[in-house]
Amino acid sequence: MSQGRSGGMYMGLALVLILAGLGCVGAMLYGEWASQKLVGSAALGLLLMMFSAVVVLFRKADTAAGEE
Amino acid sequence: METAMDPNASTPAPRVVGFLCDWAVNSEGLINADGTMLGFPNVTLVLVPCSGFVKTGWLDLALKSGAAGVFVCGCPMGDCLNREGNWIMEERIDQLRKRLQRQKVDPERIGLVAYGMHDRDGFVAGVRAFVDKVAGITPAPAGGKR
Amino acid sequence: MTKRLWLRLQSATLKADVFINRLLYQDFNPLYYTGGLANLFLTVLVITGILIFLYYEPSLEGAYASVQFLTEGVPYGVIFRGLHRYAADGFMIAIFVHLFRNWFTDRYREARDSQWISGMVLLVFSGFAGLTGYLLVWDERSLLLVSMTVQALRSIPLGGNWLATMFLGGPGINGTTLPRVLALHIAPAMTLYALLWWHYVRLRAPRVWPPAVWVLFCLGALFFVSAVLPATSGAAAQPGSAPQSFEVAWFYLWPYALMKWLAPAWALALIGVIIAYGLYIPYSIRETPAERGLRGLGQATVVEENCTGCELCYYDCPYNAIYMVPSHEPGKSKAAANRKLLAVVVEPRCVECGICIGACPFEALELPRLLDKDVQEMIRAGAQAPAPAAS
Repeated sequence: MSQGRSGGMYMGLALVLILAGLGCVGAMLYGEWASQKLVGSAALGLLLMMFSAVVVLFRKADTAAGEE
Repeated sequence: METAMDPNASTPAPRVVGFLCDWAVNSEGLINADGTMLGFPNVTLVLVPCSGFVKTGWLDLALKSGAAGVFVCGCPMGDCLNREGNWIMEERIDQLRKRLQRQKVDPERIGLVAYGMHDRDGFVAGVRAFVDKVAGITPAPAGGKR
Repeated sequence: MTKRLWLRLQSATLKADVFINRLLYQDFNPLYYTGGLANLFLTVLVITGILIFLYYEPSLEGAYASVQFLTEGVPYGVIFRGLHRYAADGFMIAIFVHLFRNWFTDRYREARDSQWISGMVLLVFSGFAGLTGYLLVWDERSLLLVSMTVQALRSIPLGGNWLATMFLGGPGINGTTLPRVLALHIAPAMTLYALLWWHYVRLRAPRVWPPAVWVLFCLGALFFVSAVLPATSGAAAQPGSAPQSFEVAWFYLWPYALMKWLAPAWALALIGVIIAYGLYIPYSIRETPAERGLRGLGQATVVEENCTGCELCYYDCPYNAIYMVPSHEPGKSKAAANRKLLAVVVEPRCVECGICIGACPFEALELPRLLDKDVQEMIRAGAQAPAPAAS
């Protein structure tokens, strides 16, 4: 599907998103602790959206590895 | 249009039978009066109402009657007008390939391609690629004496 | 002329599929799951709706305050309200993409008419449920919308006044109005599930849920939007001081925007015409058998003497059009001699696709106008034709 790009790059990108997801978890905890419910919910929303991207990236990495 | 085969090749273009779903590639003007495909005198197209209509027995019959290859063209996967026709066909072809392997027939002689209504150029290119692939398979079919 | 436009729309729809397939993957393509996405949003609506219902007070004095309490006093209440609000928008978007995609790719014809008709009824019910939702908040906009609704109902000749009185529960807005509106919000929403049964009944293994990627993404987007753009009410409704303009939420309130340019009676008539045309669409196609060609090969027929009762066609039929019934007499062929079951085609469900023919290894099913032996003939002719001379 995407010649010339290695599976490693996708995995790297997924890793970045997962780390950013950890940041979101931190923001959720902060939101709960500081009663900033909106901040916590926005962070939850971001987390879910990033995880959906991670699912796609895992698949892309898988396909790229299969092509090699 | 050019023919499918390389003009310098010494072997004749292989006989290929193709089943074309009526909802997939728009076949208007694509089929000559004798059932062959425009630009591919060696490819006979059989129009079917859905790729899922094709019996695996027919694919087998085409090979047994002397065709070098046989393919089925359906709509893009996930987009079958009848919802599941091309997935079902994919499964059936997988089964048939395993059976052919046991009979010492190269399973690559059976193809499944998927092109949408708008994608006629893609279909022509896909058929060309399939014909070239089949031409490369040895040994050539014995012409009904398999 | 219209046919060319139609082909262009169809081709554009399919090209959008291909484009997304290139970016994503076939099993992640949201355009293949538009119905499932609508179902996802509907589920969010029902769950958040139940939670909101627990706090809502359907009275003229208490409605606005109860919604404000939910928004400001309840932990994460504003998020739940936002989820309900934005899931409703997502629901409408998914429904319309579903509608246009299936319309442009011919998926409403012939045996699929029941899906189309049930879809139109579903659309009307969802639109109505969404519309009454805007009245329940009971802010200035709600009041204006109620008075516009009453005005529109009164403009209906014969029985319009009666309808308006029924809607309000009296000659004017009174204590029974909001309970009525609440019922008109929840009852159509519950009816959607009965209608969905009708929508699915003909389909084997309908895809009612989108892939995990899209569940995650849509839920995330809903949470994110409800946090960034919290759903709010306008000023509390003050009877007697109705404002003249309101913020239009286009997905549900377009009929009211229509009333800005059209007299209420004509706006209602236009909506009626649109719905009637929608219901007529599947029957608008008139084609001769020659024009239908391979799309009308006649309904699958069971060759009873060959049927072995193996159920393969039953499992493959995508339209639930084949039933297995007990067989009372053996078939004629050797394989069918000991059969216990017999396949029967439910004719109103058969779309003449021929998938069951491909499934049957016993030559027990045929499409009347494209017989097995004719196909075999074509195959033999194609496979045995002399090879064209190599140039």
